[in-house]
Amino acid sequence: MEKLAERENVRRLAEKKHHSDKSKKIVLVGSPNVGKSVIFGYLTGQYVTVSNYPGTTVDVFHGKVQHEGQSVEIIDTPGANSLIPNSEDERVTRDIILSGEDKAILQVGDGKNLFRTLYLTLQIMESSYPVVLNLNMMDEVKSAGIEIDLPKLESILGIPINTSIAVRKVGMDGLLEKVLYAPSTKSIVQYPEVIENAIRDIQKLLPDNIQSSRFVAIMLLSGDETLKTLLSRWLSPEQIVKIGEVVNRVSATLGEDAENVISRTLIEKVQEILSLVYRKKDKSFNGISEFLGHYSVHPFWGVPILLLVLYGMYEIVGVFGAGTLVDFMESVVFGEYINPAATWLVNQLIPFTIVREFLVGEYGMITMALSYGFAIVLPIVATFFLMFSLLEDSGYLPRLAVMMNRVFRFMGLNGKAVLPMVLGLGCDTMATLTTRILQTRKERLIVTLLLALGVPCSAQLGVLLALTSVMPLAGSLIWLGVVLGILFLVGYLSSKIMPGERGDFIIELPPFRRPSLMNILYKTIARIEWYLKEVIPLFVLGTTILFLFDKLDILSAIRYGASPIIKGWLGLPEKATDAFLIGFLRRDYGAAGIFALSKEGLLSNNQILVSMVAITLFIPCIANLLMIIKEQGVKVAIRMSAFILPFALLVSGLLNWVLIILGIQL
Amino acid sequence: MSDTHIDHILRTIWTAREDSHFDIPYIRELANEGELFDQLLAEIENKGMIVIRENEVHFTPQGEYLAEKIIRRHRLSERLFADVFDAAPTTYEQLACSFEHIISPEVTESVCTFLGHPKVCPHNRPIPSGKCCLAYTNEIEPVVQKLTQIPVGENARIVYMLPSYQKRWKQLHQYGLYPGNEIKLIQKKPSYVVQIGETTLALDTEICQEIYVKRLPKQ
Repeated sequence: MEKLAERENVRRLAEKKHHSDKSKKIVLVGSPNVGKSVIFGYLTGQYVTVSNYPGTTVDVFHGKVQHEGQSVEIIDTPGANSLIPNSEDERVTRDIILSGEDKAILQVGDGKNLFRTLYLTLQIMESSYPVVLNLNMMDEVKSAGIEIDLPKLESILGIPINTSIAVRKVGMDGLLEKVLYAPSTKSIVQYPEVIENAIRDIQKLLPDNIQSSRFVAIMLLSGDETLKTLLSRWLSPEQIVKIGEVVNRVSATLGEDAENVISRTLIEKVQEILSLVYRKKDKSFNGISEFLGHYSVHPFWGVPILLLVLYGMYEIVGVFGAGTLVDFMESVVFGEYINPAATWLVNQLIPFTIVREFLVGEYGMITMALSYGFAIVLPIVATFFLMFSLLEDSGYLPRLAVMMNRVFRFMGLNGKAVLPMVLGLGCDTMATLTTRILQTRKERLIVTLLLALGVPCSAQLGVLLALTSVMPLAGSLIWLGVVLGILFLVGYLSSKIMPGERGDFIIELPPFRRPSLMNILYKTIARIEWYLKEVIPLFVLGTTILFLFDKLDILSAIRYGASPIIKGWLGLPEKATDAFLIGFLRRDYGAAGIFALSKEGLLSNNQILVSMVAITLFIPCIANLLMIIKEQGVKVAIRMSAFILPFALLVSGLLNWVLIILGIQL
Repeated sequence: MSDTHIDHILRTIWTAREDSHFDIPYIRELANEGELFDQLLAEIENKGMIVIRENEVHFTPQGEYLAEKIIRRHRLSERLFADVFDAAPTTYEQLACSFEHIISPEVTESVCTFLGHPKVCPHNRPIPSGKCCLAYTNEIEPVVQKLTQIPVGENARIVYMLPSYQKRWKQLHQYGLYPGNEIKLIQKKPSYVVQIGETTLALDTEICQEIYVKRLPKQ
């Protein structure tokens, strides 16, 4: 009772203090994959991609809400396991917590993983800001047979605790108020005396206006290099040297790095708390989720499950998306309605032939750019992203990483690389961005190169699959074999040539969860939107260039110039030059051009195979190139392109000549 | 004369013998006890641990037995401080010199088992085997093993970790991989998968080789 009254007092005090403030800030902090983004979405009414593997929330999200006439800013930080940063994400989170203003922190933690949750809580509490701990996924806590003594935990930590099942909106009422009225915290961790003294010494050296000086002192003692830039903003060089002296003195006294002692003290404190509040009843079987989680990484059963997943992807994306939906959009929606209607309308309204042709001619905006974009590409991309979101939310993707780890090690990578590679089958541009989750620069470079060289995005893959259907099975197998072989070869060689090392394979396998349909739809829509914004303008640009080339008769000149390569080396008809030309803009667009040629009966099976290999390995699309520049710099992008283009032509030409020499006619 | 000094001389004689030296001048220099040396040697001879013939020192069966025990304690101590506590060579030498006098036979056996019955000391000199090592050669497992050595499906307690990089260490800590915590080995292929509390982690084989655990009895 006393406790309650005391808290009520604190609450009123805090209320008074806060009401004088103009704007309030709430920072959401938590490990990856604990439902932080869902809670952010609930509090702000905004939707953010919520996902099951680290690296999705690369950027920091801001939202604003009105509460009792005041505006409250809510910030969603990247997932962090620790505030002594190991990764870019954790550094960003730490910096947000450190940055000056008055704020309250809402930590979202996984109730099941109380060890990790509390490890972070104790670190956050050192900052002295008001903290509320929200234990999420309480349904899983219950089904795992875990009991947490919440009142006891609350009194040990001295901070308010809330429990929730965020995806079902349970326990979310009043969360905002709880955070807004939370009292300031006091550290409950007592470090060995040498360290506590050093903390005080450093605090004295820090400027007075730093609210969380204890927190900063602890980080400095932990030898956190990333703090140096912040420090040089606050302090003179002499003061920084003095701090360095304190840190060295502590290590000398302890006989080991202060960091080890700090981390040990934290862990021991967490273990002590756990022994008081955490009980797990033994359960032999945790239902279907554990069953699936176990068998999907099983050395034997994992393989059929993997094949089943791939087959499901193929059925949905390849057969339904690229077949049924594309057919419907192309021949019914565009073929019967939009194109005839647009042609009629344009002919009625526009007297100038050149404008008419620009809109509905052979290289017309509507007849070519928009019908490619919406009729061929959109259905494939949409079904792919739907499936990808499903895999992502169910927790299968990290398990795929486990299955593929050995294969990727061969290429100087580890299983984590499977995530950008699979995403590359959807969109290479997005995947190039996602290479950030890889630990070392070497790994990021190799994956970026492989994506740019030979991972067809879903749009291209859809068209390529359509092409395989007009060829004998042997042709499709040769195509697959050549492309996979090239990817392995280039991966293997670049892992040998490039300096640097492979990152550690440490990946968390979240429990299998039944994905929420709404979440999947939201995500798919967000990704399609991103894709369309990225792609349709490029289609329009590419078609415009083709149109101009055609009208100015440049097209035939280029065809003539490129003919030794296209006709002589690759053995393709001159008209195929168009396809490769637009392939410079987008590989899928180029593939669609080849598809059109084969439909007209202008290509033999051998020619289809050769052009498929050439276009699969062809230069990445402009958007992807821009992303490579953004992530790796201009130099790398130029070098990669300078390698890829001749290499693609070399490989496909060799294939052509091998087929000729061996006298193989498909 | 104190036992410590006698132990030291016995150890020196043993070490010299390993290098095929039996002559007194060599042992004197190695022992580095100054003027005390001759006095100590005479005392040890009086106690019947050694015999001196033609300026050469040889163990009696009793001396041999004692010296072997001392050597074993000393070299196991060196291993302990070098491997488990990462002490520098000068430090573990010194520590081992004091430690060898205070550990009881039972503790010696435990240390030996804890270290997995090592065959040589950090200087690559052989460690005489004890009772526990003989039992070990009869196919009894060491109490502390690498995580990669325990069978799939077993529960174990982490005893210590020797990660190659500091950064790796920190990362593993956050997931709850920490000495004292329980760990369950779920599978070894296609990748190592372990469970710590409610966290399931996939790890490289190299990392698992740096985690030393003690198996827990089946429930």
